[in-house]
Amino acid sequence: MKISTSQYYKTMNELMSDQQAQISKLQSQLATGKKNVTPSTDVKATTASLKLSNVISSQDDYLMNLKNLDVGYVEEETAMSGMVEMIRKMQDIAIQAPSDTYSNDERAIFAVEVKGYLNDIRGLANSRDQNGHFMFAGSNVTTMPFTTTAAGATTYNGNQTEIKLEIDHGHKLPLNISGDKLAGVITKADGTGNKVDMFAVMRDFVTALEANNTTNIQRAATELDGVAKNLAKNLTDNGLRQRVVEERQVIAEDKRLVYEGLLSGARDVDYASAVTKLSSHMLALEAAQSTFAKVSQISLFSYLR
Amino acid sequence: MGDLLNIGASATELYRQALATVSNNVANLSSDGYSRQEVKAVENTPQRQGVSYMGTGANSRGVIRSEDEFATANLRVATSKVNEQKPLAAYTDRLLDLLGSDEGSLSNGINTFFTAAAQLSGNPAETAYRQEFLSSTEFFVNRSRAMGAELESLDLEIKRAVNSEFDEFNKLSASLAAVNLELTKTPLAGKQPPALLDQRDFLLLEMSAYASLDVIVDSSQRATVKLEGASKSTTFVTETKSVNLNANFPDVAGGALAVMYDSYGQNLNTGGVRRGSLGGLLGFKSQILEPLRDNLDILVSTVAKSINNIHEQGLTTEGKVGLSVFDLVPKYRATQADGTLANAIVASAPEGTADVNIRAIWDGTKNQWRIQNLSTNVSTDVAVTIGTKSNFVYNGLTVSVNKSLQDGEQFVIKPNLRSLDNIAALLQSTSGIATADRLQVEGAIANAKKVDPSIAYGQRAVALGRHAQFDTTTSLDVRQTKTLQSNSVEPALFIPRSVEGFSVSIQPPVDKDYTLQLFTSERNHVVGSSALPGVFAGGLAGANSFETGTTLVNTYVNKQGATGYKDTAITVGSLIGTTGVQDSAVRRSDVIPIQTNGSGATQTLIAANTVKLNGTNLGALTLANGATLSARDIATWANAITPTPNVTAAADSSRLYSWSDRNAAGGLTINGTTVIGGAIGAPATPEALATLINNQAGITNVVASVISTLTDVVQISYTAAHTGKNITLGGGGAGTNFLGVADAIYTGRVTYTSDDPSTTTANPETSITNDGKVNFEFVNYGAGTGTARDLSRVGLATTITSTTTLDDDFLLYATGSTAELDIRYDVGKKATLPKVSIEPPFTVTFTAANQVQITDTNTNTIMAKKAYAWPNGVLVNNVKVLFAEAPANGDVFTIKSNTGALGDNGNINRILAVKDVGVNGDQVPIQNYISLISDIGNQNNLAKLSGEALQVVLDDAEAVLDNTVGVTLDSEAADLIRYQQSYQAAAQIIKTARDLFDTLLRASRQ
Repeated sequence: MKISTSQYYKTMNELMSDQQAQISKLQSQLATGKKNVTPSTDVKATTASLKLSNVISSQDDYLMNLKNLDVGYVEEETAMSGMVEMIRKMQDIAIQAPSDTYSNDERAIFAVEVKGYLNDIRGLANSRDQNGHFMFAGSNVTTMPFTTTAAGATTYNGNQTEIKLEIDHGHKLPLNISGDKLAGVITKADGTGNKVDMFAVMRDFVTALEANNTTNIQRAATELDGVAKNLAKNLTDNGLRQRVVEERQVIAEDKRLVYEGLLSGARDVDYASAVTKLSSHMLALEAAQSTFAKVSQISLFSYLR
Repeated sequence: MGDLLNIGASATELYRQALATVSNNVANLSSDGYSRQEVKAVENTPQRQGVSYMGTGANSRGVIRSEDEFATANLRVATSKVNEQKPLAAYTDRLLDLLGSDEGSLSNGINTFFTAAAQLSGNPAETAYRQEFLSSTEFFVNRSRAMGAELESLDLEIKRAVNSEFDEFNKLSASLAAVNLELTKTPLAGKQPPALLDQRDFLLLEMSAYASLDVIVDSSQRATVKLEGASKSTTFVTETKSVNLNANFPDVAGGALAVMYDSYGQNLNTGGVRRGSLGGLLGFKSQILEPLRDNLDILVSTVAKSINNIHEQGLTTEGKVGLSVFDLVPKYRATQADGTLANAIVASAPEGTADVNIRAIWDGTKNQWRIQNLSTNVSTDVAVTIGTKSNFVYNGLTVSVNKSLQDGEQFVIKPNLRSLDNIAALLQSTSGIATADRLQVEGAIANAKKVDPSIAYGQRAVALGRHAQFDTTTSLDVRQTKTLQSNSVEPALFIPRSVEGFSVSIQPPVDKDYTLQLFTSERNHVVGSSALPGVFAGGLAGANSFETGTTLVNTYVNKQGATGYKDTAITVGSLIGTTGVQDSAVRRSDVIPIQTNGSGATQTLIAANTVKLNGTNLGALTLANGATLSARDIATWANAITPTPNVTAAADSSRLYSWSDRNAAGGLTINGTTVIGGAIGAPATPEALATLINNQAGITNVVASVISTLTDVVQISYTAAHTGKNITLGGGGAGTNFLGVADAIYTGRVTYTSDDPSTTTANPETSITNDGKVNFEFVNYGAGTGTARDLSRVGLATTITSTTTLDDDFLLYATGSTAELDIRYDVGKKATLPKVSIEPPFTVTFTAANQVQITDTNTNTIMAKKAYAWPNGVLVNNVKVLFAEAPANGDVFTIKSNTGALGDNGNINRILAVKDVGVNGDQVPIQNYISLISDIGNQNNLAKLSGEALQVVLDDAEAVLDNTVGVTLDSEAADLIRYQQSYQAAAQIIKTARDLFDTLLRASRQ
């Protein structure tokens, strides 16, 4: 097969340009540390990194929500533990006070003490979170959830909404315990079966102490049991949720690590292999250049002297 | 010896030529398209000398151009193929860099939006996060628009590249035509100048880099060319000339791209370009760029619409329903003749207007627009909007022009349909973000079971399910008539919710009777008979048009106001005028139907105390034996009641007859007296007719006059003392009488006029019966005391009227006679409500095992009673109330506007879930975007791989051709030596010949 002179030069030229392009690509990879300096240089790496960035950002969202939940739960727990403590003291009083060993005056002092607890518990139920919003108001976070009427009754101004946060694909956890759950539904021990909340129970207790009504004081003891049980249930829920959050945090962090690793694999350059490739391309280019230089010298015309 | 000299001389000439040709080859080593040339040496004809032939040397047959037709054609094909891949690879590279870069990627925009939504979901009450959410909508929109702009400019760049490549291509065509013309001058095969042939092949090769060609070379070596696969009529390089090819980019989006062949200004479609760089460019545009833009549009609009739909269901912190987050309405753009944007022309059309694609040309002499509709190609003249200089409206498109115009100035105005470019962020304030659910549902504290309730929104389509078939058949805001089947299981008419009132009328024949029955789709009976006819009720139980599982509620039948359905007043009867409004009202009855008593005794047509007028019961309407009921009888009946209902009834039986309708051959009798006939001949004019009638007025009490305001119309009426009586016309026999009508008794009408309240009462507030109304109602519609037939007897229709907008679908039935009946209805247009509004509060009460009752809280109206089976929700209009577990019997749940909108994240959570909603299949938005990049990547890869493979084919084709036509220095050097030596040898022959001659001369000299 005959190769024309211009064809030979053209072919050699193209081969050397190809090598040079390869070298330039490897050089920029080494310089930037990324496999795909521009997306078009490596489509697979581009799509993989877009996908992974997306899942990592989802995990980040979940982690952020988990953190929010964690903080919220701890704040709730603190408030509710305080309430449990005071309810226990009230229960003690409810057991002691009916005894004949206490005088009316002493019961009046108990009444003052219980009233104090009632106010404290109401205060705790009106706790605010780190953003200054009421924790036990449902979604009505800017309105004080528990207020007192002129007659001394406590009313709930929040709603039953539970704010839910996503902690994994399609899986949500409630952030808050609504005020009506906190206050609970306690069946009156007076035989009517009427349902009231814990504030009514405490208020009835105060009234009973003030009125020296031992029957009602004893009844309050039963009803306070209901209050304690309701708080214990809420605390247990809270504890369970805290554990779920803790476990989920570990899982999300682990997932994130795995995805980061994959992302790095897809995106970052493997220096050893890049350098090796670079040397091999440089060698090939040098060989092509030197042979070209020599071969192009050879011509029959050189001998026509 | 002379022969020897000749042999030497011709040989030197031959080798001199050969040496020159070799030199030419060496000189043209780098010339484009040059084919190696050779001198063809041939032996001279030998001379016969005796019995033998002596050779006479050699000479040149000319310079021969090396050629290999097959290899040349192959090279062209390979060139076209390689060049097709180049723009594909280069432009897909561009796309990948655009779509996949961190800075430009849409995925980043989508991610940013959902991350902001996630953060807001965790902190709905925090203004900082709300602000960030707003910014993220802007960011997403900007990303989308920036990408749209990039793709648009890429599209423009391709158009320009295509146009400029066609320019180059056309120049080459012209050059080729010039070469063809030159070749025509030397038609002899093998004698054409090699340089011309080189040029021809070179031009063809250059052209194949742009497009794949079909080339035919004729005996004169001229090449005629058309695009591959195109019809012969579109040959654009002929033996003598060339014509230009151009790309035609369609005016209307979606139109086909065509390559036109301009032959004497007549455009022919060549059917497109295959391969070559033009094929590659056009292929990239139509198969990669356009689909990508379409897909990105679908992605952006799906995401934006999903977000909008959810946002519009939610509640803002201002306590309002959310507005759209993104604006996707197509924006109109006007371009000037040169293709640049005309910013002085602002065009817009309301949402929902069909797309308008026009070319508007200003007619400066008539000061109007000539509008060419680019979709239909129909042109119309459009006047400017009154009060403006040059604004106009066309097909719903409002165009304002903010510049002075020259005669003939034109603009193309069309919508930009790309969501990618159109999308805009609409939310401006943090309080406008609908993070909260619009409703809240709460269980009553006394509920036996603590059940977590929730609400699903946007359930209207589900609720409509069964009504969808009817919903489309009722035309709104137009008076309609249709024939309906009575007693049917499915309704005769469907009245959709949210319409601005409705009226439905029947006026059955007097021998038939019907009752209208109106239900809500929740089976709440609003108007009709108190006890439903047994068969009908049985059929209704299985009707598909009612919501499934509903139980009949008949608490509100025919009741109005506080005891009515949702405290509204839906009336039935013939009512005109409005209570409490001071105005006079006039009700004119239809022509009284013919009712003749042939019973032999007095007949009661309407029993006493069945129909009331303005609240007062009417007495019995009776008819003497043998009589026919007249308008006069009815007026007397209506005027007879006490206390007076402040309505005056007046009867009138006058009628108009057109002279042109007359039957000139017919006779005429009025009330039995001959007017025309016998001795009295037919009158020649309307006036003569009136005179003939008036001649008998003394007997008939009927007078006639010609109406001056109408052409040739004669009015016939009773004299004042007899007004409203029936007129009996005769004289026509079996045909028509002189008046052009059949012989019969003709009745009149009754006009009821309410007393003018301004004159009859000083204080309409305290005496509302004097108000301007004429209301015929039934004494007890539910019990059938008063029916539609009663009103039909006096020429009135029975109408159900609702003037309020209700959030209920209504179903209308008719019961009674079995025959079909005509119904007139006028359903108001749909009120322009917000797409979604906050529902009035309602309660859901579990009244029995598997039974719920839905009660409207504001009016304490039971809306529906229906079956319930957990876990199904309770569907109430647009929402569905769901329960985590089955509630207990007696449990009550209240649904009302959300009171804690600030802290609620219910709706933003739904928006967040859009990131997992499928776009164009089941891919979530990000995946969809990534797969679009992947697709481009695959095409890029394919283009690059094909490019490499085809390059090998091209190299091979070049090498094959090169083998024949290429110049190699070594072989030329060898030829040079060879021909030099041959030349020297030939010169030696001449020398030898001279020596021989000299020898001979010397020999002869001795």
